[in-house]
Amino acid sequence: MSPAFENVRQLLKQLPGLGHRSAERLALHLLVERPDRLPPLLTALGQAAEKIHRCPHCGHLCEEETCLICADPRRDARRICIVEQVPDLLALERSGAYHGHYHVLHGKLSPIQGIGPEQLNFAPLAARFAAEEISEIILALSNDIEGEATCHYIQDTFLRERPNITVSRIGFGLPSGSGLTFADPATLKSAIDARRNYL
Amino acid sequence: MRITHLRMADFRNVSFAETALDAPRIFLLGANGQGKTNLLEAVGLLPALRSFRTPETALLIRHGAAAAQMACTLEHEREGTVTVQVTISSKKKSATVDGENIRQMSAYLGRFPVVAFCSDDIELLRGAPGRRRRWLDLAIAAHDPEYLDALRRYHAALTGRNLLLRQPEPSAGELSAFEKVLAPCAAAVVRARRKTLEELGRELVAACEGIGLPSAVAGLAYEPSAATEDAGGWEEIYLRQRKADTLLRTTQRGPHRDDFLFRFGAHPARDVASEGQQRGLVLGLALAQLVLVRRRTGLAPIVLADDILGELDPARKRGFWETLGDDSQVLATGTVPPESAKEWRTLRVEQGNYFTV
Repeated sequence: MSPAFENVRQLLKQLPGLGHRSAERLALHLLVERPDRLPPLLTALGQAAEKIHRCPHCGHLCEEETCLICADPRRDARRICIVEQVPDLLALERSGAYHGHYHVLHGKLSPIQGIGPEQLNFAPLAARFAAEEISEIILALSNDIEGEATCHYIQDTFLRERPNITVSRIGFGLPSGSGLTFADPATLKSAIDARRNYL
Repeated sequence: MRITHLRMADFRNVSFAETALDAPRIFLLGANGQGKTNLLEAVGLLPALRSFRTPETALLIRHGAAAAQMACTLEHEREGTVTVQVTISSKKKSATVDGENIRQMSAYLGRFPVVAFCSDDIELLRGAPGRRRRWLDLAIAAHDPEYLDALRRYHAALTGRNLLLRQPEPSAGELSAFEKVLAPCAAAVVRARRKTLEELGRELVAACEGIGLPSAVAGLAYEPSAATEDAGGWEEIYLRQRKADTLLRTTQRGPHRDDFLFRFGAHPARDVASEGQQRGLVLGLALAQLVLVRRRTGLAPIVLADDILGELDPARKRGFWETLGDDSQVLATGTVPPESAKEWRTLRVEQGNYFTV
């Protein structure tokens, strides 16, 4: 195999979600099968890399001074939903269920991966607590040990001295449209634990 | 519950074996090293996909094979005729029930109970605490998904805390965050262990009477690292321990340091009981486990008796069978035929092959 091709394949393999074979397929596709697709892709990547940066307020992707969500006056700036990753924010946006602001941590506390508070997007969050009038925090972090530890960290570090802020964590239960019969016991337990008053 | 047919592939030294097991009492007869215990171990995977002999998954897979497999047909009190297949590879364990993949262990645990009696169970009484913890965890988790969940979460959070303690200057905020996850899990594990050991202790007394041991002196004592059963208490312990733990760079207190003792009168059995009494106590514990599993699952577990019958004197052997009852199917092994051969269907075991005698 050509050394140049091997180099491309190795670089692609380092990207998240791509294994050995997927990297090889992508490299073959762009370099051999459809080389016409390569120039526009390179141009788009170059332009995006120049324009896109993290929103200094919330950590979402943006091209201007702030992201479109932070700049939108129709959104409720007093409510902040804290998420791990940009795709989590996009998923919530697609649901149309939430109309407040966000804060993206770009990860969660994970000693095994060497991710501590310094690696997460906490400094802008501290600045927001100091400068903005916040009435509600929604913790939308994953339902695992690291997600839970990160929630505790946020509570202890930012919210302990601010009793006026309402804090909630998203519910974990049955997927919409599914019945009880096929749900596993752990999901059913979460659903029962997170039950709420009817009407 | 009764197992009627079993297949094994690439399991321990068995490349492939198939045998019918449709009888209430099956005796596997053969010289040492022929594969008698392997069959029992394969059946023992049913409750929780874990071996009762070893925590090392790699040992179950035949040398050079990618995965070990066990498939069996069962006549089940609740589910009727059902086929379970278990696959153990170096990376993961999986099971199917009637061809359907089990995605969550919580949906599987407790459905196919098995209780194993092994000749090296004596190490439970004499060996290191880790062995007793593993036995107790498997005994509870095999039919309690909530316990397994608490235990897994506990160990994951413990790993997080220990990694933080190994950093040059662990941050108090991060330690506190992981301790808050640890605390409710530790409380849940201690609660379940205490409750189970109390129940097992009561049944041990009854079982000892059955097998002719002085029941008044037999007992189990839970020796928790800390007896706290509420999350707040554990949070305080972790906070108090933080300085010492930071120095030693590991979490010194918690359910991962628990132990339990066999008591004989006022003393630990390993110090005062005779060899025969110690073996009797361990046998009593397995009988107590059988009662507990029956009660908690409402099913008659399959009983695996690996080379234990030869060690018992006639009176104790009689007591053992009487205490065992006859609703459980029994799969036993030995190098000599059983005394009352008529009650058993005997399979001769030679080099990983099973022949009906």
